[in-house]
Amino acid sequence: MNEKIVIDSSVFISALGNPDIFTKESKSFFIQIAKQNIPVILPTIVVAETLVKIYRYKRRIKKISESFFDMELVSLDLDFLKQLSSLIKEPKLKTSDLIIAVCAKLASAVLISWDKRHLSKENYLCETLTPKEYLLQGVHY
Amino acid sequence: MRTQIYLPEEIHSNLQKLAKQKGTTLSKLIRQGAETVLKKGYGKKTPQQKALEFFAKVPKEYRINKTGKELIDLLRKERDDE
Repeated sequence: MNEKIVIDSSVFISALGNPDIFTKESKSFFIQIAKQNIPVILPTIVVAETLVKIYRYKRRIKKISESFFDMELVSLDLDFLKQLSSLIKEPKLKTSDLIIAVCAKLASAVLISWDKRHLSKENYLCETLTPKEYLLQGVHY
Repeated sequence: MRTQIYLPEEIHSNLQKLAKQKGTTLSKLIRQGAETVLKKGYGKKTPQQKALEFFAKVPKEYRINKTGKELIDLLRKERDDE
């Protein structure tokens, strides 16, 4: 089973932190999906958001940005915006939350996130799992 | 070069059906399959796999002096403050 996944900024940013349970599980997640060659798609906002956050603490982002550019990116183009406008229903979702969830919905992908808002009922758009839950589904080991 | 291979019955049967549909032979299909495997660089890592491995094994110089939980909470806070 190689269904597509969209990865939220929270998973990338947590992998860069000082070790804790989230860092550890994000890293295990990246190892497993690389090994399984799971198709990953990223909304460009995830890349922008992650790079901006990293730049706040580290001025060296070249290697990180190059890694992002080796993945399949989804642009915020006119077609995407037209589809997004027809899917806005929940006022609590913030702009980036909405764009990321819509990207997953349009690609029929599972969203992987540590963000409690994505994992809550407010996200009506797509199936969302934490990295740990995704790996616990078993088929990815 | 002539060689002998063993195929599971189901694969053999499906290949024969496909060969018939496409007006080709079982041998040609198997040769095409072998060429595809070689062209795609079997066992080589894709750029995406290398990129994901970078995040799995982030070098120390890229590590941020906050825990994963703190970084996730900061991201959420900034999204809420938008």
